[in-house]
Amino acid sequence: MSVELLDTLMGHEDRVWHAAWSACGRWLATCGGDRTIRIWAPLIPRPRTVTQMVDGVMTKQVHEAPPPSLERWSCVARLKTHLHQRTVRAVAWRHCGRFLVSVAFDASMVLWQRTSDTSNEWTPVIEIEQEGHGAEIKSVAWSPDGSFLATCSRDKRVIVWAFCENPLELEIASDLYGHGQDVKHVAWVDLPAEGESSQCLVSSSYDDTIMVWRLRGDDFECTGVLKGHKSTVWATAALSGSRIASVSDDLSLRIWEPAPSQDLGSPFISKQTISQAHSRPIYSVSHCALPAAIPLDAFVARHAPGQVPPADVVRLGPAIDAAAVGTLAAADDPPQHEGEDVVMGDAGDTGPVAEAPGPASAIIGLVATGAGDNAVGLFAEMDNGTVVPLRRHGRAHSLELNSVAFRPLLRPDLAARIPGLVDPQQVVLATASDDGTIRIWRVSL
Amino acid sequence: MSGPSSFSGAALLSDLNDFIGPSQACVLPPVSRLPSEKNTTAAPPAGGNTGMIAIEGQVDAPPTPAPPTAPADDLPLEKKVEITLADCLACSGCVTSAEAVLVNSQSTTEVLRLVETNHRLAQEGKTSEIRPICVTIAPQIAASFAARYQLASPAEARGRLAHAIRRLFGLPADVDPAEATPARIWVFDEREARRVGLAEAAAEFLHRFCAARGGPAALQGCSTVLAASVAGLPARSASGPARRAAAAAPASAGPILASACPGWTCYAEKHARAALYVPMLATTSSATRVAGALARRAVAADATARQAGRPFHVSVQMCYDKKLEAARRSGGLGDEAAPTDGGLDVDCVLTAGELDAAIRAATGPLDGLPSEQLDSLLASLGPSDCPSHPASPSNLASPASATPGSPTPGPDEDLLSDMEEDAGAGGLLEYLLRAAAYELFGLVLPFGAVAHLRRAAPTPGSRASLPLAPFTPGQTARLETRVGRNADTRDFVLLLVADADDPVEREVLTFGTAYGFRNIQNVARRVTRPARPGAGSGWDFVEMMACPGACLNGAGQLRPVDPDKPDMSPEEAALLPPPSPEAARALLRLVAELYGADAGRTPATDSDALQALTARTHAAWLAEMAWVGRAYGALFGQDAIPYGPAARAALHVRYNVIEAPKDSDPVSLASVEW
Repeated sequence: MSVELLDTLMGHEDRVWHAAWSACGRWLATCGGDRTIRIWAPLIPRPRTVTQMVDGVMTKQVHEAPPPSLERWSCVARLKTHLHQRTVRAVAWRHCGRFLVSVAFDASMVLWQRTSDTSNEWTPVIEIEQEGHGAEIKSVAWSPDGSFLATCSRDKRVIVWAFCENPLELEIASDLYGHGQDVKHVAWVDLPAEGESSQCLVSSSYDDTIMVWRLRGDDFECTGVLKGHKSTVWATAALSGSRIASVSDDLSLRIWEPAPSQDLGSPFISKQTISQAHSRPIYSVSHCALPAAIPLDAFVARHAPGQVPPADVVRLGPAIDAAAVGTLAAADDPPQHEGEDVVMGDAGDTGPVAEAPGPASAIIGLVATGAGDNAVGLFAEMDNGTVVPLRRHGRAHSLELNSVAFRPLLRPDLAARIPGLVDPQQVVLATASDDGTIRIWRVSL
Repeated sequence: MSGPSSFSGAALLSDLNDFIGPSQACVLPPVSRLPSEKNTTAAPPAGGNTGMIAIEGQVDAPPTPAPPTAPADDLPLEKKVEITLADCLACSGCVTSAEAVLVNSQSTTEVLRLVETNHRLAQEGKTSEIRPICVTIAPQIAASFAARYQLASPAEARGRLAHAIRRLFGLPADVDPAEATPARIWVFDEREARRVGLAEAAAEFLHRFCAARGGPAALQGCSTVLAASVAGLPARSASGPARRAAAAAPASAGPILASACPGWTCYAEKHARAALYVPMLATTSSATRVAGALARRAVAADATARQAGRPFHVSVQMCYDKKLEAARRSGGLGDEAAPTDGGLDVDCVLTAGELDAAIRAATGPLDGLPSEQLDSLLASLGPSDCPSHPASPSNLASPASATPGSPTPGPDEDLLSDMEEDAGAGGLLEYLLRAAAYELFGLVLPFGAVAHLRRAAPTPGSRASLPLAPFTPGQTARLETRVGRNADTRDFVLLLVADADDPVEREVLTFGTAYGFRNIQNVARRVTRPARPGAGSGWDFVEMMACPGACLNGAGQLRPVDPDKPDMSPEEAALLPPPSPEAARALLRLVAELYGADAGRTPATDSDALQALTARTHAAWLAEMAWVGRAYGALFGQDAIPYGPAARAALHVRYNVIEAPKDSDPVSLASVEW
């Protein structure tokens, strides 16, 4: 497998805090300390006209424009509002692509609307200035169906806003208290439940916990508190099979899976811990589901034919196919830090723990992490619900990574209907950093 | 002492107010109390008081020792600092205040200490320094006790509480009651004071509503003593249809926002947009404070306390934030403010949970205690001796009204019940709506109308309406409720066809409820940012309450008990995990049921019964207005009227815009980014 830098996007005049792809994968929105939001897309090359002497005659020659590629990107919009007086911390696209929300450290929040389907002009249509959160807003996430918007803040609250398009309105549907400290991140996970909405909200905090919230009647309620991380949980991401990945200041990546029964008192249980996944705090995690699973033997045959698994793979237990893991761990950029432990479940203070999974036979997705060690971590999501370290790409940026985001991979038939979507079946990763740049990476399996 | 452990599981008020613990953001001590500390590097003092915050609840009470519950590791300040509740009110470092400050400054321990002090003063012959103790019981906590101890009604709970409170705060056992001065503890029902508070609030509403819409001309209905408050306004519009149009036009000013909930008023005062919210707040004191003002008069008028000092007023409430409200100075409105003694209307607020713990410790659980008669706040005012107010209709039968000052020493349960509502928010919305419908449009809102509509439309998005019976032929009217995103946010809209020749139904009054912070924030945003420039928010009045489900769900209410261990003390219960949301909801339902049983009757919807109920309500309302006139005469002098100068001085609170700490403050965290 390989990870290849395609382009470095420059334009932000301060650290870049967050990067978010539109659901169609066509646009990338970023924001940061310069209080702006930028929207990026692959550069559309113009036809080139060359005038030259041909046989003594001045001739204009039009060179047809090459097709847009993932290797050159341009900023197609720069959004700035007086309302955001401090760092814009996060942005989120509604699934329709017509609405974008930005949240800032001055507790302000703006709903932007695209003025037409074809343009990249955006108007602030709803401005919320300290009428929700009372302190820095840290994260924002639309529910999968676009009916709710979740935000979280240093005021320890998670607010769920109900979105109405006609008339355009954002109203507080739930004002959630529970975290004992600064709430760092919110994410939605689809968790089917009998007689209830499957949209489940997950918040993570400086209090080292992850809280799970579900809609009950007209309000969201806490249905579980996931404990296990030893320090701030900076972010979570929904994986396949309603699982969750969480990353923390304690340098670990944890995987949680839906509880097999309600008797366990928690909607999720600890599945796997990868400690020392990075050498500095991990700030961001992203997941990408592969449209088609890659059988493990095919993957091994392609990348490391005949390789013998290293001996220490044994400590991973019988859970993961030993040969496959050995192969994966031997990827081209080996971990810079020794002692990457993969622990199945966790007998510590996590509460109920998942049973040991059966052997994996295919890779169904990818997980990326971004951390304070300036590195990107890549993990394979296996069909048995575990993740396996693939490689760590050190020096991805010159300063800390604040955000990693996989471009959504669409089914080919859907992708074909989206104009301007370049190379839709390619796995693309965006990273945003304190160094003020955003980088676009091609991940090839 | 019962600490934060007595917070109810369903109620989130206390949790949500405690946005930021004192360790993180109580900016006050370093900024204004210890200016010299910033630059010193002195070692922390040796001994156990490092990091303690001593609480000074009030100026004239004995000094309170450092609370034992303040954990030292929560408070990194190196010097002993003092934060008073008044400081919390004046600061916007956190949205309301830290619970530790609230809980410890006003406690049963403090009242018991006063009991001892009083006893000592009596022995020393210093009668004039004795502070007689009087206690008012909020109706919401009576329902909570009734539900917790499976009593038949809140009235029964009140009776037993009267006994328990007189025992609890009574004299030490070794004192001969004959020698004691004063010998009694007064126990009052807050609902009595509420009759005055609601009338004052209604007069304020009418005054402000009419001031925004053409002066006295907006009064199209029947006139009672409440209308006197409007008479002084300059007339602005013409007569006839123009007058009617003026009354139906949307007000350009924002709605009037209720101010009875201290959680909401503190939020409003300290919010970044406080300058927009504060002018919309109603200024009439909450029933809690009105009770304080009246109780003080009632006690002072009593022969046994005549020689004593200023009464000490204890209020038993459903909510911890009421402690913060109690620390607010009285003083009335601006230029009309009469000279006051600068004292507090309420000296000490105890929550139901705190009182329950103290009663259990002193006398055992409430259900094992006998019942006693409460004292009457109003009987001792003697309004029956006063001539009726000139503006009051004097010759009306008063079927539902008890004669004030009747020989019964206790308050009249029947009459108070008719004035009751069932949401537990204090009845402001229903009373104001009834007063406004009557004064502005001549419509009588039957008792129980609001409760009926709440039950008829319980689910988000639903509607229900109740026909009214106008006096004017050709008119039709109805009251409609429209539920919003949840049952805690709904509108009550008065719809009127004023003229048979012009059969257009107009929305003439829109009152809203916003219970719980999620709804408060939505309303606050809508009233300060209208959808269209110049357009109103659509509301004339909004009842803003910080707790979801309003005050019955207050954080100071009794917690559910473990059905297997019904006799567990609050201390034991505190060691267990918090009750499940299901248990908390079930208890809340029971409390609401009992509270509703205490409340008004459900209106029948068939027209004959409705007519009868309307007539009965009408008569009772007029009798109540007549009583209000007499009560104001007795309280504030013969010509006193609701929202008149004397009442504005005594029964109003000034709310202030409180600036946020500046970013440049060294202790402010606003410049930290992570």
